[in-house]
Amino acid sequence: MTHLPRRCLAFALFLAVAVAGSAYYWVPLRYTVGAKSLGYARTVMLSNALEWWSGMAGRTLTHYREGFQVARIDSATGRLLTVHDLILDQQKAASVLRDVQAGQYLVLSIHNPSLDDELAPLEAALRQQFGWNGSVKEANLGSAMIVLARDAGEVRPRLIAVKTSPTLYLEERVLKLRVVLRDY
Amino acid sequence: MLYLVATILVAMAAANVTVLWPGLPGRLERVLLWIAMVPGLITLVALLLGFAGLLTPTAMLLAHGAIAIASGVVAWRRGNLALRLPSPKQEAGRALRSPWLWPLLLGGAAVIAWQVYVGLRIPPFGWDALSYHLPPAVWWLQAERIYSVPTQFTFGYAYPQGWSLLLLWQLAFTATDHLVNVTALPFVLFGTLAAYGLAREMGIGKRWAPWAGAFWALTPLVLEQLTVPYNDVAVGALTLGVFYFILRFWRSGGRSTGPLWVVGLLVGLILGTKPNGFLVLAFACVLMLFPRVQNWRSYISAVVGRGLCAGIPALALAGFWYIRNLVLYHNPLFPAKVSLLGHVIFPGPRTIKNLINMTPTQTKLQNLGLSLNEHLLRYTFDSPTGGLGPVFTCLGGAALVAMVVHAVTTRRWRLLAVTLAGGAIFLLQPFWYLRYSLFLPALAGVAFAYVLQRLARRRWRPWLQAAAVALLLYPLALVPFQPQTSAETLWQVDTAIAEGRRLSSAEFGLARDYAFVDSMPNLDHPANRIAYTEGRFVYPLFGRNRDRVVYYVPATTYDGWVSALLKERTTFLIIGADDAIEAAWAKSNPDRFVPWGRSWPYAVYLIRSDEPRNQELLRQGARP
Repeated sequence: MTHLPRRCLAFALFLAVAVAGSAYYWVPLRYTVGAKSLGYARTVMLSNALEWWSGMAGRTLTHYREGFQVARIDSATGRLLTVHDLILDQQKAASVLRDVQAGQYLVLSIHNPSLDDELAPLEAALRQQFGWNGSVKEANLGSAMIVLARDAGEVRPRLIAVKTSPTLYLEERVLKLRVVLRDY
Repeated sequence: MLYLVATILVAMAAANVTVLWPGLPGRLERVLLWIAMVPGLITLVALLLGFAGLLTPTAMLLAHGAIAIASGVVAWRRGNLALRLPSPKQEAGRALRSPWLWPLLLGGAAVIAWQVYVGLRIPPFGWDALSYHLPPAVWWLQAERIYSVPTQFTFGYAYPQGWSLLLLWQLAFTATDHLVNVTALPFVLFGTLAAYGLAREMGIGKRWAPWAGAFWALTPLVLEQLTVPYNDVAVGALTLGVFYFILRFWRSGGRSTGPLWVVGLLVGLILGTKPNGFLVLAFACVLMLFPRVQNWRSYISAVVGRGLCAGIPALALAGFWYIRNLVLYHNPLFPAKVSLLGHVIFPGPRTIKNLINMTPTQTKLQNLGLSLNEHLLRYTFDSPTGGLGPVFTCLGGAALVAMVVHAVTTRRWRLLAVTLAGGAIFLLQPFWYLRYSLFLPALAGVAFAYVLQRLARRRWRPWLQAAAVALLLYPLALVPFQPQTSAETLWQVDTAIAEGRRLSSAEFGLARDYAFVDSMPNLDHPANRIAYTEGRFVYPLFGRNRDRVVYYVPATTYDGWVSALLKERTTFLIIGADDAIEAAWAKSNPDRFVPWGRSWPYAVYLIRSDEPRNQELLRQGARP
């Protein structure tokens, strides 16, 4: 083999693997859910970065932290109103699940809480208030999302869904949230 | 100020030792040795003073001052006092005349400056740092000696603790502990230069070699770790240094032992930091102990000679941790069990696999697939998968494949040996976590430079470089918005400081443990002696000035445990889990354990004893 064909072969290989790698990275094949894809999640990230510059508005679920976060979302516009961290004990778990404003979704997001003890009061509160007998234990090394809503005129909030995932990835949580809200 | 003086002294001592180091003709290799010599000297001096029970800031200052003066006098008498630095214009002038590297230089400098600023603003955090990297540094400084601290989290404290010695340096001379967050910064510089040097040694011209440094320094994971006291960046950078100095050794025709001593220094720093350095050691041995066989006698003497050159500094810097484990647990690699062909050589309670498995539901291939597909939302400093950025998946991997294929067909064995050694170090790890193989982006950068120099036609080069710039800048622009060390975090912490209130759990990742200590009445007092159990993070318990005495008392029997607590003159007992046996004992014995406060998952008890501090608190009755 002369020098030129070797070079051409290697460069062709480079181009082929680069195209395949780029497609693998950028084309959202596996996580496409309806019209929502990973591209959507990236867009959320970018737009929130811009929002931060305009005055810390619109904090998002994309801020990964270990433990629990509570997000409030306007059910009419889908706009994220607040997100804050939470340490759950029995009293707080019960009060958080009750504290859903009319016209809002309340999303309790759990990421790798590390300690089972933090999940127990949450499960107890879910059982007590909504009769939900499932387990979010799976979330101990992964993530979970609990969505509540209350329409105007309703006295008590309703449990829309509890989604759990054994993986660590927040992106899936964001997607699940979109799926849950769309289904709702 | 004292920290600056001490660090300048070490840098001077390291420069003098570097000048005196034999067999290193190149300027770049001397600069690399200089940078590596700083942590090398800090580690060595801390170990020696720690054994002698003299581990105080003053003793460290004096020791490094003495080394600086002694080495300076020797260098002066030899008329060789100045360390000559390589000229950036000469090395990278041609690359900088093209427009492609400037945006990366400016963007990289801005993001690194931002990350360092964030690191200096927020208290230390990160699971590994708070649980087992930082506490030994405080214990050793308090005791003025290095010892094996009896702790509950035995596994963490049985790891090599060379990294804790570097953190100790950051803590010893100042009241603040924020400096520990930027410990990785010199290693970013070292890795960048080593990647550049490696590219040059692998046959890449000066015009293209800076791409190797750019791929390394602008890796999102490298930048993310600039705000936490984690050691992955250091291990990756030092591994690049090992490859570079092995190639320098080869360049000398295998005659100069100067680079081998440096390889030993670097391997020692890696092994003193992380046990997976044994893989680097194994491949370094294969590459450097490979003299040409002329006759067996000279072969054996060459192998022994080279082994000693590299082995002596490695043993001096890392040997202590493994000998300690051998003495304490009869297993140098405790807690990992060591087996060979089914026979257990060193027994241990865990295997390497179950010790570091962070993704139990995924296979190795799935890990790799997710890592190469990881998107910006997932970048965190301790992510088990990913963090190398889109440039690695889209261009770096392809360049590596093309370079290896072309190197095989054109018989570039030197280049091939290093690339395959790097690949093998990655592939032989029990899990393919890219965080533990941070040298890979640099090898990808070398490969990309190789593609530009040898494979791409002239008209392709601008397009490839433009694509690389875009893919490197894209994640760079988002690094300040990444989780845990985001701009929002900084804003929250600064707001708390400006308002004069204490940190709350919402301020930054893992801040709940600082918040708990800060908010518990009477806990923040230097006279307190605190026993803990089941706490995830020990470091915050030391308090703001790191002056509280914190220790673990093993629970054997109730009576034995209580008498040990009393013998230690314990003021407070902190229990971090409700289901601990100590929690049941404390609850059922209120005559001995006075409930003092609760901040889930922690419960705090005041010990009822005759100690003046305990009596004073009991009299105050200042229970929350």
